[in-house]
Order: sequence, then C-alpha cells, then structure tokens
Amino acid sequence: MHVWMVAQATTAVVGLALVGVGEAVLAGATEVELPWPPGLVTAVVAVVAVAVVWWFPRRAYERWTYELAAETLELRRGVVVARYTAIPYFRVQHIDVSRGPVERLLGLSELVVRTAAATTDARIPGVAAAEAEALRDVILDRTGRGDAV
Amino acid sequence: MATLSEAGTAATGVRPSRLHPVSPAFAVVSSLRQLVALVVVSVSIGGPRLLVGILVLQLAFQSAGWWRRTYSFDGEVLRVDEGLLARNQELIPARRVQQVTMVRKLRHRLVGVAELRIETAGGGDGGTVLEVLSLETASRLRTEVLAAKARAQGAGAPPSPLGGAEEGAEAATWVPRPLPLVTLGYRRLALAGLTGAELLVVFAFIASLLQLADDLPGNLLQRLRPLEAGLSAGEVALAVVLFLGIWLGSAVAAAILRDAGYALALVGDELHLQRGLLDRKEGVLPLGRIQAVRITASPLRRAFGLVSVRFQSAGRGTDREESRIDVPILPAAELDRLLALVLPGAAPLPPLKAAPTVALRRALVRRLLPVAAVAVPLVVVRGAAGLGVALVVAWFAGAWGVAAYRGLGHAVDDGFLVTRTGALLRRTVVVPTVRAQSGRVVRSPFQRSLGLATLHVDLAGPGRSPRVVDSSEGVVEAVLERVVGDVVGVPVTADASRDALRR
Repeated sequence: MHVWMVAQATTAVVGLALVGVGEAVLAGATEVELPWPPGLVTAVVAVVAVAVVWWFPRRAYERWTYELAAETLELRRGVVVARYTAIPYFRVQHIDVSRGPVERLLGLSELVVRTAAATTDARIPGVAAAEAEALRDVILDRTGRGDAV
Repeated sequence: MATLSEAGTAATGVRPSRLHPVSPAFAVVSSLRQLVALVVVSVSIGGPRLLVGILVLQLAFQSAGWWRRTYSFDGEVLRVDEGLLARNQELIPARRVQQVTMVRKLRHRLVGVAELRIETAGGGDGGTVLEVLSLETASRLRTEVLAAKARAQGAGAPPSPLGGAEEGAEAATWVPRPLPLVTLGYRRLALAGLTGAELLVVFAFIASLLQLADDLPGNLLQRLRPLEAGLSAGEVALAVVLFLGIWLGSAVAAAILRDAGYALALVGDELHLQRGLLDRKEGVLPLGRIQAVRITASPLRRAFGLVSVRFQSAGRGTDREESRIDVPILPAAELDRLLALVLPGAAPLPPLKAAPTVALRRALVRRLLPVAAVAVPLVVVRGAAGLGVALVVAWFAGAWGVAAYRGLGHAVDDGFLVTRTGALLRRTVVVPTVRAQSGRVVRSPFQRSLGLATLHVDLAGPGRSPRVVDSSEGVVEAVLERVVGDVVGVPVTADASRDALRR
C-alpha cells in the first residue's frame, strides 16, 4: 500500500506542478483575464489529488488478493474495474521477482508470473522480500515438468 | 580456447554449416532498401564512386557476418552461432518448434534458394530465420526438424512436405499421402480480392500519392481546379469507370499475387500450405500446435456465404504474412468439413448462446455516450441544424450498438470454446480448451450494475484473446470453470466475487 501511495503521490505532485505552472503562465504571461481567482484550479486539483492519494491505494490494497488454490493461482483486484485471473500452475513458464527503489526501501518484492500467452496479466505486488522467493518456489514446484504450450 | 561453434561441434559431432554463399549479396540488397536515403545523398554528394565504396564496404561487412554465422542440427537441437565480435549461440530443441515455413521470394526463386523460418513459442524473436539456403538444404532441414519433432512427441509418422520429392532418406520410412483440404483457383482468388481487405490497397496507394502531391509546391486543390473546370460529363463518367476498373483490378491482382497456386493439405498430422505467385511460401503447422481457429466474415462476405479462416499457433511471428497459415476465402458451407479434419470434435460448430438482453443496454450506452458528449455542444452552438446532425449520428451509433449486441455469442462444449464478437466484421474463435494459458474475468462498474462480466481466455501466440463479452456473471464463471477444468484435468471452482483468502 505504501508503494502505491508513493507512486500515486509522485504522479499527483507532477500533475499538480503542471497544472500550477499552466495556470500561472495563463494568468501572467498572456493578456487573458481568467474568470476565476488565481490559483483556484490548482487548489481544487490539489484537494482532489490528496483525496485520491489517500483513498485510492487503501481501496486498491483492500481489493488486492491472491490465492494459491489447489490447481490454479488466482488473483483478484481492481477498484474501478474488478479483475479476476486464474492461471493453472501447469501453464506457468517462468516467474520474475522484481524490486523497485521504493520497494527495496520497504523490503518488498513483486512477483511477475508468465505463461506462454503474452496477455496473461499476473503480478503479485507487495510481497515481503523474504517471502517472495519462497512463494516463487511454491508456484514453480506445482508447475510440473510437461510441455506447457 | 575453443569457440562456441567448436564447442558445439565437439559436443554433438555435427559439423556446422554456413548459409548459401549468395547470402551476403541478398543482405546487401535488403540493407539498401533501408539505407535508400543514404544512397540518394551519397550519389548526390560524391557521385557513383562514393556509392560503389559504400556497396563494397557493406558487402565486406555482410560477408564477414556470413562467415561467422553457422548452423547445425544434431537430430534434436538446431544450433545457430553468429556474431562478428560478440558471439551469440541460439539453441532450438526440435520438440519446441511450433511451425516451419519455407519462403521463396522472387529473388530466391531467381537464384534457386529458399528462406527457412522456424517458429517457436516464448519470448524474444520466437525462433530463427535461415535467410538463404539452397533449396535442397532447406527442404532437407525442414524434413529433419519436423521428423525430430514428431519423434520427440512419440508420433510414428514422420512428416512429408508438399510436393515431397526431397524427404530426408533417414526420416522417410513412411510417407503419408497428402489429403487436399482447400485449393483456390483464379476465380475464387478474384472473389477473395473483391470481397476482402485487398479493396483497401488502392486507397493506401491514393493516400501516398496525395501525400506526395502535398509535398509539391502549390496547393493540390488549386492545381486540380483548372482540370475540373475543363472536364465534360462524359469525361467525368469515363474517369469514374477507369477508377473503378483500377480499384477492383488492383484488389484482384493483390489477391492473385499473394495466393496464386494456393493449396492447403493435411499430411499425416500436419497442415501443409503453399501459396504465392512471385514470392512462394510453404508452411507446415503440426495439428497439435494449433491454439485456435479464427473465422472472420465481413458483411460483404456474409452476403455471399463466405468466410476466411486463420490457424493460430504459438509461434511469435506467425501473424506475419509470410508465416501465416490461413484460408483467405472459403464457402461457409465447407467450414465444418475443414474443422472436422483439423480440429476433430469441433465440428459441427454448436449453436451459440446469445448475450442476455440486458447486454443490449450496455452495447447502446457505450456507443451513444460519446455521441451525446459531442451532440450537446453541437446543439448548443448550431441549434436545429446541430440537432439534425446529432440525431443522424445517434441513429447510426444506435444501429451499430444493436449490431454489436447481435454479434455476441459463445458456446462451450466437448472440449471446445467458441466465441463470437463484432458488429460488422464477425469474428468467431474456436479454442480447444486444453490450450488455454489463463483466464480473466473483467467487470467494469457499468457491467457490475447490470450483473454482466467479460471473460478473456489467454492463448499462446499472436492475436487478441478470445472473449465472452457481456454475459451474465454466473455464466462467465461457469465457462471459466469449464476451461480451467479442462486444462488441469479436474473440475475447478472459480468464484470471481468471493472474499479474499490471502493477502
């Protein structure tokens, strides 16, 4: 959740800066007289951004679950669009474990499970680094040795 | 210290071979097309001498690359070593091969050589391309690779390419007789051109001409105005007839160029395809590697009772035209016979279950909402005239929504999932359920409010995932259970809406 909050906050700060600069340029460098008080748009965007940064990652975290079922890896997530993915272990080709700078700081990892289909969408974010490799090994143990294509 | 290539020889006892000696010349010709701007500049600056210098350098560079590129096949693994300074070795086990295609473009046919494309599933380039081999070598290597693949899979019958006079001596212990599936004569090809995407070729040509004309000094319309003023009605009619002739003629010509001599046959447990007037292509696709069969029908083709069919394999490059295994045109009445031979058990296609009526609401809203977003300002600005335009556009959007809804359907039966989508261009996909890689259920807020969901079935290979669009949530979950259950071999319960079990 903290990783998502940092990501959302980064996006919000960049977006807010762009809006602020845009409004300042519009008000200062042109002859156009704005029909609203200076800084109002930036302030409204800032309030919305704070609400989104505060609310969205929490909601996403609540909705994000995974389950190692008997025959399949199952993922459920999505705040606006709900997604459910089922991947038979037999189909798993390989698993990547990735760690971004913020994740390294927080001791987390992301597992990316790949099948022969490029469209398979299977990422397990926010797994404790120590747990990630164990989880990867559990999934790989269940894949078997057959030809998965 | 032994090189990679030497190490490979030592390990397998098979001596590596080089591509045909004409390879560097072919590579220079190919690279010149990419360097056409450089060639033009060099000719204009330094004259022919500079161009000759560039060509000599390019030929030397390509010759060095040819010398350092070798391949060998030890009966199980195809090994390719390449690289002038940084050496790269590629190992392709025959059992992993999805599809083998032999391409003979015009330049290959002039010299008597061929290009061999070996497609595998997975990342990267998905296989290898041996650009220039002698015809005999290409045929022999293709036969050996396919025979090794058949052996690895425990199949008793070694493969035989179409026109198979060149089977490898060791492999050809038993040669199955080819069973012709589809052959296309010139009349059928002309019909394919007149009802297919080839009709758009002339518009692409016109677009490029207009772009060129736009780059010339002066405005295009201004240049055409005197011409327009001087034309009589008869000349305009003649021009229209001439344009129609060129339009339809180019569509027919494009279809014939691509597919002349088209023959699809079943040889043992493989599909063998050959096609092409100038560039000849011969593809081999083992039936066991078919991931899905995609059937497409435009309104024009539906009116004539025609469809096109594409066989999808897991090979990454198999959606490229030179590697595609498809039937460009087929009477819909012959579809069941083809499916029965290629995907036993899939034919006849089961009647499709329509989407629930509530899905019509989503189909309409999805198309009318953008129209409303444009129509409201239009009516405010233009008044009654804007309202008239908005109503006409809304009528078309509504009709499109109804057509899209009517296009939806699916069936899951006897190990096959059949899905259909598309408002005008109807796309039906037949998937052996055991080929599914994963399944996804997606529900937008609007779908949730209507109790609908969309199922995506992910398959290996290029192409969009087959979808069961806007079906009721219970039906979608039941289909996913059937598909995943077929893959793992035991019944599976998929409940997309149940609570979290583990975070």
